[in-house]
Amino acid sequence: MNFLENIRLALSSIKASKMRTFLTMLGIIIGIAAVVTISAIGNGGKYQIQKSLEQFGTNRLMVYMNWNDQKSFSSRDYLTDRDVEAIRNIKGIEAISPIYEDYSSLRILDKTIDVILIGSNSETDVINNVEMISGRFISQQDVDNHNYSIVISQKEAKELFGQQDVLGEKVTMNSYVGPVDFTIVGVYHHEDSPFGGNVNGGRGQIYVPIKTIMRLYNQTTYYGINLKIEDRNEMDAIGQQVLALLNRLHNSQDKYMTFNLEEAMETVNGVISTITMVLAMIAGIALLVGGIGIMNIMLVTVTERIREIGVKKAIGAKRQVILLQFLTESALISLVGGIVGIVLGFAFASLASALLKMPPQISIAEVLLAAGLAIFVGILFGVYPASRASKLDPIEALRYE
Amino acid sequence: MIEIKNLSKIYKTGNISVTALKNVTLKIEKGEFVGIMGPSGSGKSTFMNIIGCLDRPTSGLYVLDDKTIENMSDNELAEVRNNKIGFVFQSFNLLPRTSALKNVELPMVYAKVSAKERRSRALEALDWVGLGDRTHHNPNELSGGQKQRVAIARSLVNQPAIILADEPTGNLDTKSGEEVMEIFKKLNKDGVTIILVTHERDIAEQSKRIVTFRDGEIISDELNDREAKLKSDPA
Repeated sequence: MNFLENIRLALSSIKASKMRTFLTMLGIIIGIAAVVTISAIGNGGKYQIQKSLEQFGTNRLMVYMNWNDQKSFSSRDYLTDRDVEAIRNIKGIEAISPIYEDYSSLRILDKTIDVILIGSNSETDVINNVEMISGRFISQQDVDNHNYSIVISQKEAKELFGQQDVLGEKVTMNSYVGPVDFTIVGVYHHEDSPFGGNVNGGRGQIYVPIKTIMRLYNQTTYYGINLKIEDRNEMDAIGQQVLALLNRLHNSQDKYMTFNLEEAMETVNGVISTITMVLAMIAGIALLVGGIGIMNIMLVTVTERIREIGVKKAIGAKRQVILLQFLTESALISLVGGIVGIVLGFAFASLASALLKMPPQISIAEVLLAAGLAIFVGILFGVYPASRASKLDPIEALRYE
Repeated sequence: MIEIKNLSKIYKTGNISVTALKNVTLKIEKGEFVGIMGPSGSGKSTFMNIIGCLDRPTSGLYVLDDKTIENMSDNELAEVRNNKIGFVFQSFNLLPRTSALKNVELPMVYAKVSAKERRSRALEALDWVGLGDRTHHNPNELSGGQKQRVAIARSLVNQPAIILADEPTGNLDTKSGEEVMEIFKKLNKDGVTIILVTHERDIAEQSKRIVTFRDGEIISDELNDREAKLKSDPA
């Protein structure tokens, strides 16, 4: 009894009761579709987090003042250029850039767009993973000379100028002290935020020399410093060193904190994984119910075909032949149901992701896993009816009316 | 060919035991055409089941084609049924929704015969029983006589040592019944051993030897004079 013969037999039996088979299949379809949908959305979420992490900059460590203790701050606690230079000497730091950020807007003629102003030194691009498409990033010279240079993204360029080729153009920044003209020295690659336009009210980031903006606003201290660490495994250790150094320099305690986004993202990732797993398990219950449906209908099928089984046994079918015949049938029902379920699941996931504004993520491995799961369920719940069929006594089976 | 010695079959249900066969001894040679008669409850069906390797005796010896059918596993019995025995049932027992050709191919599927050979042998067998033009009909498209002829074709494709026919004409009209009996006679003439169970005297009388059962025992075993006479005197 070869495999193809079994498939042919199973198909002809399925064909003989299409409606019943379809209803049975529906259980598997719903179960697999639910599992696929949930894992696709869950993976989509994880992918988004990974992507936003890359956008934010990997191996990035933030040192900032402990806002919980804001009342006890005195002027000597604020971070200064002396601190930056001291931290720079710690081994394992790839880039360092003090933080000065503000909301602002850019204007040219009658067009105004809201932006986030980021005070930069020549290393900020390394920390923020800025990818230039034309011109250059803020240079040390820009910082030292308090130049009115500005780097914008292609998105701002298009919104303001209607094109990307804007090097050397002037834009007006609306500052607290009145409008100031900046010259565009570079345009960087804009990537859509994975969370849609919801973060920062959809404002794009623009970079200006930090010294220029601080002199403009008459500032000399920082509330935080961004660091890029060479080796991600060293992040915690270097964070401790930085804190110790700052406490020593400022003769203080617990005034500073570090924040490791990657670590935070990993925690969120873990939570998403757990939620996904729990939901997938709940979906698995649907699959279980589907499996029981298969078992039920296979038992009915076996009963209906007792005589047929008796005849087959009488003319020489061995136990395993009967067993395989029924197992093939239940596996086939659940495999077909599984394939339909995968397709449906992908459709649901695409729909849900369109609403959540993130792409669904389905890997080939997971599709195969879902198909395997379907066959497994079919076989698992098909074993009992099939073994019952195979153990029938041929005499009684032949006599069965 | 078939040797049965002191064969008994006792069915036990709870504390009650029923003796279906009592010390039956019988020898059937190759090429015989044996009619087995007896009223219902006489043990002839039990005897059939044991000869057909569908059931095992409680005690006694059964040798089929030099093989002792004792302590054989279910799978070994299935193999014997497949190779050595052809079954013809009263109610035909063809697979529904399956063409005559596929029905006839089935025993060869279990015997692991190649698809090509299966097809040619099945076609040949169907042709032999006079259904060469009905090979692709499903059982529900065939008359009773035609169904039984498909069943006969199925029983002989694996060239069995014996063909066991259990009331093969029971569900047929007289004419179809006669046709079926003619086929058995023709098969027997070609050397196939045939054992035919019936409770109809005139069917049994078309065999060459009649064994009669009553209460689990053989009460008579005689050569059929009429058939013997017909043979010796064709006129």
